[in-house]
Amino acid sequence: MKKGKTITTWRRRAALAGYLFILPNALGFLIFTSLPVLASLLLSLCKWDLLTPPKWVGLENFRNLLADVDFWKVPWMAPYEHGFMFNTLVMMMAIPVSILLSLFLATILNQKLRGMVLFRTLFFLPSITAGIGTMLLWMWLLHPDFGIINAVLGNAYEGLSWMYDGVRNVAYWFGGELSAWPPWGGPNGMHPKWLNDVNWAKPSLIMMGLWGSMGGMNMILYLAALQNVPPALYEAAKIDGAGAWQRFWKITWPMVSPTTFFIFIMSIIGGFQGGFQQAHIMTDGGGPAGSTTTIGFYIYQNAYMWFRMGYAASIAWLLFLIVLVLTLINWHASKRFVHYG
Amino acid sequence: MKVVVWLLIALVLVGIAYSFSTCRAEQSDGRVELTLFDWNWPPYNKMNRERIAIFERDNPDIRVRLVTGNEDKYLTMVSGNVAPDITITDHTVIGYFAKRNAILPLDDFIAADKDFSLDMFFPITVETLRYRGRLYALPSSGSPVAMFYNKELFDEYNRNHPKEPLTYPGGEWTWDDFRHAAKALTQDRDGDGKTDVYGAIISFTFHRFPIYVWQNGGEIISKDQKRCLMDSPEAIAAMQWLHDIMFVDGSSPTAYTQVEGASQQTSGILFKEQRVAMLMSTRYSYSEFIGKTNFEWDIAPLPRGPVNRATIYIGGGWMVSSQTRHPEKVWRLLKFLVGNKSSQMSMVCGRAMATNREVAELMTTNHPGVPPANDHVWVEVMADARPKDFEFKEMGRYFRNARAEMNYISQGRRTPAEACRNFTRIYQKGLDRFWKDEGGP
Repeated sequence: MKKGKTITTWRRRAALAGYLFILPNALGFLIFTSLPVLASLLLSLCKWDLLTPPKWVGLENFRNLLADVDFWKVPWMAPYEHGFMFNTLVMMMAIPVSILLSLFLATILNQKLRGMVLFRTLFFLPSITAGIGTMLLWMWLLHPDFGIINAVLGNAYEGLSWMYDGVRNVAYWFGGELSAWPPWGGPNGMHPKWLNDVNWAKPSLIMMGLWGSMGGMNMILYLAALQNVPPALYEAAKIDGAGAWQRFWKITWPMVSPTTFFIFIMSIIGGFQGGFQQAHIMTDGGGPAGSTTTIGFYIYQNAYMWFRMGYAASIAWLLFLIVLVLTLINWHASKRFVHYG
Repeated sequence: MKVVVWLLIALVLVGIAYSFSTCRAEQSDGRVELTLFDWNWPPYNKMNRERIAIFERDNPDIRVRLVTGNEDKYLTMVSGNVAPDITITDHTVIGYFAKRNAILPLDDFIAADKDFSLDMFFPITVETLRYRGRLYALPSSGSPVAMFYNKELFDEYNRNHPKEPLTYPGGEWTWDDFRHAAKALTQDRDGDGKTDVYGAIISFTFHRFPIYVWQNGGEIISKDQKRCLMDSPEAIAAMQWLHDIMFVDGSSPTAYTQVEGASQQTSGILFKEQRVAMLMSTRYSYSEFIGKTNFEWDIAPLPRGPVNRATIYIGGGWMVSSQTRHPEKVWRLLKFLVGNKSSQMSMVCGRAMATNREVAELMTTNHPGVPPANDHVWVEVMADARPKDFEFKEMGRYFRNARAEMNYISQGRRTPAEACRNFTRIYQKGLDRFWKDEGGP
């Protein structure tokens, strides 16, 4: 009896110590995360300009959001007009590419070669470099006049122009008509105007995003996953006559599928929330003509530029619902595609 | 478990005690602390600290705490009930804050103070800060738009064309004179078929295009602020005129033109690198040019339009929070901020032009040998300046989309007539909504 009581007391003390250890974090989470999240849900049902008390409007913000042309419009509705959902989705189209590139890089960096640690460090560098610094760097790279990208394109221009003329002539013989060289330029443009052009701004940001994400945390996760694949599986497959592609497709891909699933889910969440910094720093507030305004930046615009806190909160909650639904779908689908153990 | 509960209670109590402690305005040395909010820009911060030191020396019962940031920070402070006592603001948001009782009307302070008169300011700088007849801020600094021109490019042209010389821009210039000069000054220096120097740089932003609409007898919105008038023949003709300078004459870079060899494509840099002969801008640009150019430049009034010589005024003011607990002391600080000494310091710091007339007169005539020679033009054109009476914070997204329509002209994606019609449609939609939801401006 006495022994039992001692154990109970000890357990209680241990539990208390545990609670005390997590207390600062739990309090921080409750006060600075949970409360604001709940408050934002209430706010989404109100009209609030920060200066006067919130006014209850029920679901009006959500109704307005569903009818918000700026949010939902797509370029084929009106030329040059890119809605913010469209912008976000287009930029997220780079996610699968980014995942594949990360896996490709990790596979290469998983080879046992001398100096490999140096290469791993080099590829991880973009992730530990300050975001603003890399964004400024990319702004210069993408500068229409002095950027190194257009300088390279300029050298390739003559050759491409000659080839394009040939293609144009062939098209002409068959009754087709192609636009004058270059097919991508603005009205006066020889090279893409990148961040200055409605149609090129998103690809510019995607390019930068791929550069930053392929060698970042995703690559490290894949590296860890690849190193956990038992070599015996590859040896057995080799003995059975499996080629490199078969070994990758039948062993590596299924074995790293939990990592792929994790990266995919996180990328989807990050993709829906992202684009704020780029819009703020690189495209002068989501320009040109709103073509790089993502949902995240639209929330900021509504909250702090136009003082529509309630509407901003409703966008944030719509975003949450979208992410939740997609995550649930992914979770359900993962049972078929993700292999544990 | 009890310990955890007690810990939680203790933490909450500490939090409450701390929040009360931060609310104290009375300091331990008996001085009252006032908060001054200004934009965060290092040269301003330094100047602000200097002028606060002068104020505190002359007002030993007051301590001034400088808070710097942007509008987000200000709004957060207001909603957190720790609004700064005095805040800088752009004149276009005065109505927004006044309507929500976030700021105090200053008429009673002015009436009670026999030593203070609004006559010390340029009238327009005061009028822009009124809302429904009451004054809600005292003018801080501002500037109308005038013309910067590169005298050396004019001189060079006149040397090469002695039979048809150009006069320097001046008050007598008309739209035709401007267009002719812009065309004449546009040059392809190396004969490679690309323009190296543009006569002018045309901007379709909200800070510029209304000037030409007004000068042509048009308006952006009606006097009762209920109708957008940008689809009027006058407005369309003004936009067409700007468009033609850009696309017919080729005298101005378009939104897509890359001026070869220029280090950046912003209008100020193009002017500084002698790639543009004439630039319409405010005195705020001085911080970009003074001491940073190696050629002679000067200032002139904008060319006179077919109907009038209007220009646009961009400026702000100091407003007082309705949360302040020391209105008398705040008034003292406010008077100091707009007074001669403080205004001089602000103007020297690069904050455009003092709204205080005496200081503006003095500081625009008293710097021989330093360009521009005709700095006094800023004072002269104040008489023609008009405020941005069409910009309302509440119309944010409609405003953005309407503005984009104007930018499409410079991108060659819309004709001026199309852009003006689209602008009117979008802006009117926003305006109708504004009246319906908020009762208008």
